[in-house]
Amino acid sequence: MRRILSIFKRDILSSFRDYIILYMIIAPILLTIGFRFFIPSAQSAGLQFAVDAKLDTEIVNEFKKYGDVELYGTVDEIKTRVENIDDIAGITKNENGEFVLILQGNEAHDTKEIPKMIIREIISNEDLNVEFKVNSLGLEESPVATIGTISLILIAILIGGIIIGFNIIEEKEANTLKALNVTPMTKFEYIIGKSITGLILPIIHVFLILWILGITEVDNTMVLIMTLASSLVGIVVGFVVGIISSNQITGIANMKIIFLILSLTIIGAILLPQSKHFLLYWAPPYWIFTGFKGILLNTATWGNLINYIGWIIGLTFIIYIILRGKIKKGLA
Amino acid sequence: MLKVKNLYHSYTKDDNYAVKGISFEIKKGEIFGFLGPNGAGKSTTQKILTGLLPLQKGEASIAGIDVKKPTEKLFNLIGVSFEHPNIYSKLTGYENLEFYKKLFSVPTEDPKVLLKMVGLEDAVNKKAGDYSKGMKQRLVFARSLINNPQLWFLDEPISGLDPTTASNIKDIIKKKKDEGTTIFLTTHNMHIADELCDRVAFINEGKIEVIDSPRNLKLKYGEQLVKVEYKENNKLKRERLSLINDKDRDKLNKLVNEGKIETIHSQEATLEEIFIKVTGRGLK
Ligand SMILES: Nc1ncnc2c1ncn2[C@@H]1O[C@H](COP(=O)(O)OP(=O)(O)OP(=O)(O)O)[C@@H](O)[C@H]1O
Ligand SMILES: [Mg+2]
Repeated sequence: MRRILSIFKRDILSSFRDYIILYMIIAPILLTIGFRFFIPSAQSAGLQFAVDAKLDTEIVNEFKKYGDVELYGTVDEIKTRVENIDDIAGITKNENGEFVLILQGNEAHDTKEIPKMIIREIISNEDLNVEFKVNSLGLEESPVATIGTISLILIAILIGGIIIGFNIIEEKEANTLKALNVTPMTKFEYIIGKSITGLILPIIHVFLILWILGITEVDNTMVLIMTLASSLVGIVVGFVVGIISSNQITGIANMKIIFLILSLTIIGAILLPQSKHFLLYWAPPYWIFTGFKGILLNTATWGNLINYIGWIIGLTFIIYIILRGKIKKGLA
Repeated sequence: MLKVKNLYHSYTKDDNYAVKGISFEIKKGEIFGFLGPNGAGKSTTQKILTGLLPLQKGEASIAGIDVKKPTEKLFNLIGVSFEHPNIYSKLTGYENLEFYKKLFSVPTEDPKVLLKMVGLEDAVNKKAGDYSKGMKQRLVFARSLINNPQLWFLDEPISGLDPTTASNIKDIIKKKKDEGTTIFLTTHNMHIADELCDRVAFINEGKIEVIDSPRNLKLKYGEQLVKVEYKENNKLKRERLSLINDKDRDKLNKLVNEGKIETIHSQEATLEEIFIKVTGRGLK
């Protein structure tokens, strides 16, 4: 155990001193921050309304049922608020006593549509006959937000593995593996020690991504378990990249190929009709994609998840069995 | 301490052996020199003994532990200094040793003490990647001592070091020997072998040609050499002549009879000359 931890600690220490690896550690976070600006609605936990303070308290309370309400004294103040970066709908009444919805134009579907429904409800005094989850964050209505988030998660998971690969490349280039092989350290300890990076980094990354994007209404246990299972794929990819690449340059080239395969799987999952999805069953990233989609949209049950994880672990195990000889030889 | 019997190794797993039936024993506390030209099979033998190559054929044991089934105990009692420095360049010298130290399960040395011993006290916190070649070599040398090895494998520990540093390293090797460490020293350098080794093995084309102490080898092969300086056609010539070789003896007789000799000394053969004599080839 002490040896496993030493190997892990050394990798982390060394990684933070390697310009390329350090960049890879930061990249998913930078990408997420950039992505956040494309999906303003994801920032807020629920819907937001900038409501005219002159409206009846009853009306204000009605809006409070569906989201956060901010009160403003004048229409101009509401307009200024709506023009801010985040998603918020302005609500006021004109001289004729009719409701007016103030929007910027780039709001998520829910931010536009839900206030209309609420207004309709107030006017007609009917119950809101629409199923609406406060925690949906617009993810259901915005495939870009969902797919973007999952892509970021997949990148983070793969990067954990790639960092393992780069640390192996370093050991190969410097021949340090030889020095380790004449100590009591076993291959098993080495593999486990190296793998920890590929487990821990993705967990940190995934939760940071969700936090930066303001996605809080998801089952964190599901996220954790799914991330751990997915990391196995990253780890095997990492070992393979490390073993087939003789230096950092070929390492980066191989990494690109793997990202290409990954992207193709995701594009397949998005474009292919559900009936053709079986064509992607062989690809572990497909199951990661499907799993995280279910978790983010709050549609996945534990049963689904166990099924996805079963596929991921099963496929990873098969890949490992096929490459086991190569991995062992590569580490000799 | 180390027993090797009929060791064979083929990289191609056929009859093309890099090591062909090597046998030798090293006693506890002995410095054993493993000498031979490039490609003789020195590194191959050392790799098998340290577990870096599988033992294909033959027997080898270290302190009674079969090298074929290396145990944690075996790795705890050997130390290996590599010829080509293999270190973590993004870690400091200290961090390199500190990391390595944790891989052993026996009492270990203090990294700082070891670094000071090899003259790296000023570079303790410098990244090892920024070390000079000689500094890296000393770091690897220091690292191989971290677990207080009982059997210490040294591969060309002195080559490429400046004379002062080299002499410091030689002193450490001698000190370790005095403390009872058994040392397996691989080298091309006959002077070092002569100075440090209790016994040497000459290995050539995968076979051991001779094993003996440097002194015995010199007595056996060396005492019958003379170095003569003589004039021929008004030119001064120097030559080493054997007293057992008929041709050389005839030449010497002729020189004596003709009265051309200016100086004459009996000459101790160097290990290098003995090596050439024994194997029929040079060391380089
Ligand atoms: N990895 C390898 N694969 C195939 N053949 C090898 C390998 N390593 C060494 N050999 C061959 O085995 C023979 C012995 O090589 P070895 O490295 O043991 O020599 P050496 O005595 O250590 O030489 P040097 O003084 O150059 O270090 C050589 O013919 C060499 O070509
Ligand atoms: Mg060699």
